Amino acid sequence: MAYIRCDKCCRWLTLEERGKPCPQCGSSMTHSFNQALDVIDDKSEVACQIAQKHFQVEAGLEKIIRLKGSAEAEVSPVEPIKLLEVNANTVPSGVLPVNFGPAPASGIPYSTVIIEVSPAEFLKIQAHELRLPEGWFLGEEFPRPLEESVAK
Amino acid sequence: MKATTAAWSLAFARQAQADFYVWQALELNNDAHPCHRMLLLQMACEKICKSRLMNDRGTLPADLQSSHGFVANPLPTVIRAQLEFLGEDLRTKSAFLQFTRHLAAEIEILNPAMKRDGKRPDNCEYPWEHGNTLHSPLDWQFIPQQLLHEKFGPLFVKMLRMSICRAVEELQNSQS
Repeated sequence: MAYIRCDKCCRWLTLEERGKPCPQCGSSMTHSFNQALDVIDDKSEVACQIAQKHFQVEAGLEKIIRLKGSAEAEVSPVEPIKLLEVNANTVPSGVLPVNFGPAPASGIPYSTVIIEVSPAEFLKIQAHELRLPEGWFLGEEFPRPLEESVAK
Repeated sequence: MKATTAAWSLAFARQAQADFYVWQALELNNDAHPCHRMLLLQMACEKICKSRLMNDRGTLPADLQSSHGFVANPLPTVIRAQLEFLGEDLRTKSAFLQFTRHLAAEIEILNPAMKRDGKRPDNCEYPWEHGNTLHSPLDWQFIPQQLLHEKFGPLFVKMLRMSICRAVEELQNSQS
């Protein structure tokens, strides 16, 4: 099954909405994915780009790890990109997933969820003393950009 | 039928927006005391953060309705996401984001329930005793009030306002 999203506001168009102007923004420009695998690849690429940008701006950021749900969920284009950010500068507050819609102007066409934890909290997550939301687990860790330097 | 998590999230975002506008109106009122201005700022920030935290697979509305805090950790993420939404080059905003972390921690402390293990009893609602001195919010100089007048203060206010408006719009669209 093809997946089609509005190029302007990033809304995923339902079967009934295809071929007409986007009901959210009125744009007729679309981006199509032929199969679910293409969506998965695109989400991975966008997740990596978000991580690179966050590494460049956050001084205390030690790790960024992708959080994954079930394979069935991850294949869905409306399933958000979920990132766990381990930041020495954060205030320890437990696991608090913060939800956002797409940010097309920054090349983020998917919803995102960010969980920011301190390094000590991350150790507790690894030890299963602090729980991630039901059904989510730790995925791959994103590498830091080679020329990583936090701009002043 | 009980309200959905999305409906709760929208309700909190709308309330944050109303709190924000009242705060801004108070800032222009010479008779309004700083403690009341800061109270509205703190309430707007707490509600937008709670709105963004509510999710069926994350934090349920019931876990957030009667609890306090939830500003110091999520607000910097909310502000950074707003910069991303605007397509800003984050590399040029590192100092602003550091400022936001500092300010968010101080805004959270404005809530009387947040005392940082008794080290920060200062708040914008109730008198408190520290050492042998009784303090009133009416006589207190609040750190967020000072920070908002520093270099990045106006940008923070602008991003906070835009992030609240974006949340209301997104959540309204998702329910229409």
